[in-house]
Amino acid sequence: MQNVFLFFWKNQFSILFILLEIIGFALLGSNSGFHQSQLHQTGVALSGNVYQIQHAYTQYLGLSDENAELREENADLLEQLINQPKRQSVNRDGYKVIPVQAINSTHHLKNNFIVIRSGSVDGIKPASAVIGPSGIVGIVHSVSDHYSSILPLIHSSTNINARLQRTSYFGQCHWVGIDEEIMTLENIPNHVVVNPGDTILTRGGGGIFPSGLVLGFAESSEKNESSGFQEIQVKLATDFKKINTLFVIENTLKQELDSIMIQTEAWIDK
Amino acid sequence: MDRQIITYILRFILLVLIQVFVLNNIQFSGILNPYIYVYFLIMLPVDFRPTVGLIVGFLLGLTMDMFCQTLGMHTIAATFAAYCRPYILTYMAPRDGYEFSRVPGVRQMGWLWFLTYAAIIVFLHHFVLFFIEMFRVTGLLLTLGKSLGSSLMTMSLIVVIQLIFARSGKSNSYE
Repeated sequence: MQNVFLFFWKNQFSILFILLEIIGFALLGSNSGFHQSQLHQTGVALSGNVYQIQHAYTQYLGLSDENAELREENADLLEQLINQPKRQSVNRDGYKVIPVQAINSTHHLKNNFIVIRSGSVDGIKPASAVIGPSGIVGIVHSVSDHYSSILPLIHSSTNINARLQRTSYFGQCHWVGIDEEIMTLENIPNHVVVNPGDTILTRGGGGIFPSGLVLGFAESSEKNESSGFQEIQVKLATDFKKINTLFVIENTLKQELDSIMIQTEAWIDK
Repeated sequence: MDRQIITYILRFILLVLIQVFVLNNIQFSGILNPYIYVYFLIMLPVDFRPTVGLIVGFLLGLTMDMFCQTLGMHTIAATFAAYCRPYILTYMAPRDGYEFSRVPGVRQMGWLWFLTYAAIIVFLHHFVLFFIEMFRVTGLLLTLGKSLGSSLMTMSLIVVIQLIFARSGKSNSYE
C-alpha cells in the first residue's frame, strides 16, 4: 500500500497532467447534450457581461454602416406595407419577431458562435430562428437570463432545408468549413438547371425558419454522374464578418407542427 | 514575495484581457491568430513547482475557453504547454544552472536562449491548439502552416513585450 502512495507521489506531475488533459478532452468531447448546454449557459452568462462592456465601446465604430442598413430595411418594410393589398398574402401567423443585438461573434473557427444581449427575460427561447437584415443567420442554442448563444450557419452541425427560388427543387444545406461565405446545397437532381446568382430560400420544413427567407445565392454547381445529384456552392447572403443587429423569430406553432409530425410518423410506421 | 505574486496575478488578468479584447478580434486573413496568453506560462519562474504550474496552465486555458466558447481546446493546449515547460527548462539549462536568474527573461538569459525557449513552448501550444481545432476537417499540412504562422506572430509580440519591459528595473524584478 505504501508503495502505491509512493508511486503516485513520485509521478504526481505526470499523473496530474493526464488527469487535467482528461478533463480537457471531456470538455471538448461533450459537444452535444445536456452537460454542454449547462456549461455553455454559465460560460455565456460570464463572458456575456464582459463582451457587453466591449460592445458598448465598439458599436459606435460601425454606426454609419448600421444606419445605412437600417434605412435600407425600413425602406423594404415600407415597400411591403404599401404593396400589401396587391401582393399574395404570405401566411406567417405564429411567428414572433424580437430584435436583438449581437455582442460577440466569430467567423474563423470550424464551429463558430454568436452571443446576443437578450435572454429568457426578453422571451428568447432555444431553437428559435435568427435572421439578419440580409438573410438568415442561425439558430438559438443556449439561453441564460440576459444572454443567449447562437449556432450560426457557419457551424459544422448546421443542416438546413433549402429550395431554389426559380425551380422550387429542394435539398439540404450544410457548411463544410474553411470559407465563411460559402455553404453547400446537396440533393438537387442533375437535370435541374442552376444558374449562378439563383436565389436559394429556406423551405421551412423543420418549423424553425419561416418558409421563403433568403439563405444565399448559387455560385457554382458540380454534377455528380454516379449519384445523379448535383452539389451547389451557395454564397451566403449574410456577411458573418459583420454581425450586429439581428432578429430572433420564434414559431409559436412549432409544438403543434411537431406533434402532427410525430402522429404522421407513427401512422407511417404502422 | 507578495509583490511578486501580485505582479503575476496582474499579468494573468492583463494577458487574458489583451487576448480577448484585442487579439481575438484581429484575424489576419482568417488564418493567423496570435495567442499571447502563453507568455504567462513562459515567464513563470524557473523554480516554480511543476505541479502548480500545471494547474496554473489548466486554469489559464479554462479562462480562455470561457471567453472563446471553445470548451476544452485552450485547456488542453495550455495544460500541455505547462507540462512541457519544466522538461524544456531542464534540457536547456545553462552549464552553471539557473542560479543567477529565477526569471527566464531576455535580460537574465540572453536573446538566443530566450527566443529558442519561448519559440518551443509557443509552437507546441499553437500546434496542439490548431490540431484540436482542425483535425476533423482538414489535413495536417494546413494545421502545421497555421501553427507556424501564428507562432511567428505570437513570437513577434513577445519580442515587443520583452523590448519594452526587459530594459527597465533591477535584475531581481519580475517583468
